Amino acid sequence: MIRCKGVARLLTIGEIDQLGFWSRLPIRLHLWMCRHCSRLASQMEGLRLGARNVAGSMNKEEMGDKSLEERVLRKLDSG
Amino acid sequence: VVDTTTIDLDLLSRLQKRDADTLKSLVEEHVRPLYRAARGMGFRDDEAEDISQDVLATFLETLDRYEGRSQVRTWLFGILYRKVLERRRAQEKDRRYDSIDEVFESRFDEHGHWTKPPADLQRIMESKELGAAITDCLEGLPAAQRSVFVFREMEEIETPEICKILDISVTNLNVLMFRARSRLRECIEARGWGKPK
Repeated sequence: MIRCKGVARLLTIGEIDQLGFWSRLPIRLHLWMCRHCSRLASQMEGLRLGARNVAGSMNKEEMGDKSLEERVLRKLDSG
Repeated sequence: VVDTTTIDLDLLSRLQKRDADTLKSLVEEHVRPLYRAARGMGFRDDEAEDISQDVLATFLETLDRYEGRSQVRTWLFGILYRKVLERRRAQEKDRRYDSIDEVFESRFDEHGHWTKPPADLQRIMESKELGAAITDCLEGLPAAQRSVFVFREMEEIETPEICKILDISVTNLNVLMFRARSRLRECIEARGWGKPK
């Protein structure tokens, strides 16, 4: 039987979705029953979404600064 | 054919001069067994190919030290073994002790049940502060863990590609990801962002 520690480790690695159906099933059942692991799962998902937002905001900043491409091209030309 | 015989002086000389036909024969004869052995030792396809090439390169570089007492194959496999040990040691460096592993372990009893369950981080997880918290906590991550987290979670690069970029195995990547995400979560929790105002 899968224990909290094992589930927490898998959640932290973040590759549960890559597992096959039968490997995922006991984890999903455990998460349904265990509020602590369920909380960890939410936090790890939050961390993932938060990281993507951070990357997105960086992207927006870069896109706003259109001179970036021009600067790089100029450097390449002068190089 | 440079197979199971010891290297004679003529062959040695041809190899030292990098004679194209002799080199071709050497590679054709030995690269597949080296590749298969590397795969058998648990290396990925690309790693095994890289190791095989590396072994042959080292063989050619160290021909002067060859005393003719062993077969070419034995000599090559000796080099392969040392290369494998080198790589394993390099991988072990990333797997060695990390304090975050102890922090993780301390949250469970001997039966694997929570003794210190994760704090409620709902407030921060749903707020705009999360981005700032992640950016701040990323500063505390060792370089390899940070790279893996950035590639995987921010750049959304798939695992096989990250392994190629960093030249690490999937197992090693998982160790780094586990530590990175564990450390970030602990950092967010430790700084009290989860506590209600």
